[in-house]
Amino acid sequence: MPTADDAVAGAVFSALADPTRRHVVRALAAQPRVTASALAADLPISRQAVAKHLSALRDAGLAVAEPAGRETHYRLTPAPLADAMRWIATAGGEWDERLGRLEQRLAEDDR
Amino acid sequence: MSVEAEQDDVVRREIELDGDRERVWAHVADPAELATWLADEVVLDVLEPGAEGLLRTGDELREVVVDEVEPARRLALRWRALPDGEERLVELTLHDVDGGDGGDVDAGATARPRTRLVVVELPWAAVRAVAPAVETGLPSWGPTMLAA
Repeated sequence: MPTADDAVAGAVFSALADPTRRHVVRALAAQPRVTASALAADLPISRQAVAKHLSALRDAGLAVAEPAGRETHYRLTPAPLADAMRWIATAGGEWDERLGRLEQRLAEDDR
Repeated sequence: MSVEAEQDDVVRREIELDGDRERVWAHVADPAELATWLADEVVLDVLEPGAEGLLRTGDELREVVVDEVEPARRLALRWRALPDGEERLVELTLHDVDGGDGGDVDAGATARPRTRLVVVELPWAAVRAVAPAVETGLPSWGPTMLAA
């Protein structure tokens, strides 16, 4: 059955389909909270580009922004990743069943 | 185009089946045959690019549109669960398995051909994001699909 997980997984896949964005996720995962400027210093992209990727990650529920004085700190919120993994497990299981039926169908032809 | 970019997100399955590609394809290219393994019920007139249909598995309904058909080689389609599932790309490719059933090659006539079926499924949004060129030349969802 289609569930809210499907929509979450789709958003996560879209967000992570960009290789640079996955670098940003790894950099975020390496520290509890970090500013866009600090991330840009660690990555070979501009602060503006980092901000754009962070925005996409926030939209997908993979990061949150927290004001800290004049700065904004970003933090990774990986729960949607678990939803995406669950989607893969479900879809993979469905294919196992389908291919099992196809195999059986071909075997029936032999009889 | 980057294959590497999508590897983490893909559902991929492989199975080796008895029979040559033509025999396996007969079970893939016929909507009536698809109803024996792909879904409980298949409403699809023909398997050709642009064809739209409906699949039912249990109480789940999926809209499906056929994207590409290369007989005995490849079938690409997109589907999405109703009413509001994600659009997903599904690609089935058929490959000869060298050495038939793995028995002695010298056995000749007794060696039975086998086919490797590879299935890949991933959200269409991810395909668009990593490989914009894939969109080119593929039919888009029809008006009824977009209205869903």
